Amino acid sequence: MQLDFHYYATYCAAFIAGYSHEESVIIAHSAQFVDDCSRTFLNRVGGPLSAATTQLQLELMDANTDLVGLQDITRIWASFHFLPGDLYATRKKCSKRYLRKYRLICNVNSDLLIDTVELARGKGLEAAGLAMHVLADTWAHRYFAGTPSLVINNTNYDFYEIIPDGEGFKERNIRFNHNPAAKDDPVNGSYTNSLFQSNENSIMNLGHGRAGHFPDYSFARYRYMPAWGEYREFVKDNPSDYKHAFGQMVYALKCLKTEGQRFQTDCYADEEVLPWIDTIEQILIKRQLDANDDWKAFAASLSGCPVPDYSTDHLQEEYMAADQEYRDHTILGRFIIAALAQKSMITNRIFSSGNLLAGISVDYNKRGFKGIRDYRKLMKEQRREDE
Amino acid sequence: MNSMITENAHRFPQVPVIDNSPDHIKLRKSQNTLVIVGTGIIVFGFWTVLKTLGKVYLNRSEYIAQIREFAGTSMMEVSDNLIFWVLLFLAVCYLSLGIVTRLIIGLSAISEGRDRRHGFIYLPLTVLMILLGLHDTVYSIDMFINTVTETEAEAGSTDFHMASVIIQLTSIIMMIQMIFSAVRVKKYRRKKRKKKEEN
Repeated sequence: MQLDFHYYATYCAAFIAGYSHEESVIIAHSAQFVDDCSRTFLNRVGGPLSAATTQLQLELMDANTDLVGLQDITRIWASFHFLPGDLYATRKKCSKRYLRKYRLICNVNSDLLIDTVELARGKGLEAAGLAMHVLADTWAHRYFAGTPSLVINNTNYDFYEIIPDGEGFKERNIRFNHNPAAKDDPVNGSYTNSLFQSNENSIMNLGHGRAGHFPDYSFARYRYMPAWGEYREFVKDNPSDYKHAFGQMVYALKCLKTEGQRFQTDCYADEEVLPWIDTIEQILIKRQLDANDDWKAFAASLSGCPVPDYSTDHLQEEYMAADQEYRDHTILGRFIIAALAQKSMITNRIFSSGNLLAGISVDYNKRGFKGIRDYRKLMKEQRREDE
Repeated sequence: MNSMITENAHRFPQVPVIDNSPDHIKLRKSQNTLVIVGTGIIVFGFWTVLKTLGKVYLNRSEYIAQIREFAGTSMMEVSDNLIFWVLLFLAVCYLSLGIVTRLIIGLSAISEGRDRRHGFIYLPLTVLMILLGLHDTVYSIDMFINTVTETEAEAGSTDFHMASVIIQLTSIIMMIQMIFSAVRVKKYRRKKRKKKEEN
């Protein structure tokens, strides 16, 4: 998903769920910041590098794809952008190596989503925003895996956009090109994707790179044959999926606000969203590369307050101006702790399922290890909560 | 609040339903095979070009000597260069025929695989290519055995004939696979048409 949904739509969802304008802005900022919190950014502000929730293109170009490098990449992408749907999925006649990757395929309404939302309970607005990013991305990125894998994430010429045509639909074969400088062209059906690389673990095969940015457009409806699908075709209906994502975000945020109400999968706040359903649908189906203006206008009409443009400057300034001991109490500091907790939890779940693609996970609390310096922050926070 | 989005709330038109029945999956698999193998047949044409032109250029003195021996005194005034260019021209004509045939077969297979044109002429052409390929393979195996048993075999000639055999066999297997896939695709399409007519 893009800034229009992660920032503005999350703001709208938070406001509808009952948060104030200021609280909704913090939640929305945190949700979008998951796409900006790279190692480059953290290095600049002096934050812990292990809290990175994304990798920039330049960072990915420099990333190693040996075993350790792959584990590092998978930890980030599977934890924040491609939440695995079923870590215990089974598949007939495949190698263990293939099965490990197959189990990382992102899907909606998974047990890990419950864990992600519940992890944010009582941890502040920043943690809630981070959880909303992860939740929203499960809808846009389903059927792709957060690990570089040709056999899972590849697409081929069998990729058709389904375009509304009067009462029905027409199909158009999508022409992918490899010119990152060229803008996607929804009118002519020309979109950019990553270069085909036959190397199984190439960075080009990470996530939905082989389908380019197309799965992140809210208007996109398409049918294609994913590499893991055994020649089955799948239809992605983004307007419908994004609507579900919005309804589920409202529901999740309401759960986090309400003590004792545990988040459940497959539940959507359709009653709360119903008064604005027409506006939301109109925004989602409009064929445009970004819907920032439309969502911003909707957000302003909801709350009556103008939503500030997304910026990370104030987060940086607050964090860098604070003393070392108070940094964890700034907005960025709390986001960092939430990111460390989310990454820890997902890595632990993946490791516990017998899958080493995200590396080895050690329960520092139980084993009494001091652990790496970055994670001491997380343990300190957990000890503070226990007291 | 804790409910699925109701029918009334879901106002987006329903997207087309996908047919993932076992027959359809087999059809897609066969179509995909046609596209891959069709591309392979075209690409293998480059091997034939490389092999033939390489042979003509590297063994030109041998061929020229054989032509002179065959022609006798009538070719005494013709220069070696002229004989070589004529030989090259004939080789290019022969190769062009081969390349055109491979292009027809490969592009037709790709077209069939992508559900565009449904020709059938490429299938008998493929059978012809298989027969020629088998003949070539037998010849290459014979040459390989000869070079292995010869005490004064040319350095590298054994490897060349071995490579030829492997590539020829691969090409033949690909073409056989293409025929099977094409037959399967036509069979499923006929079945689908019959079902539609019955309904």
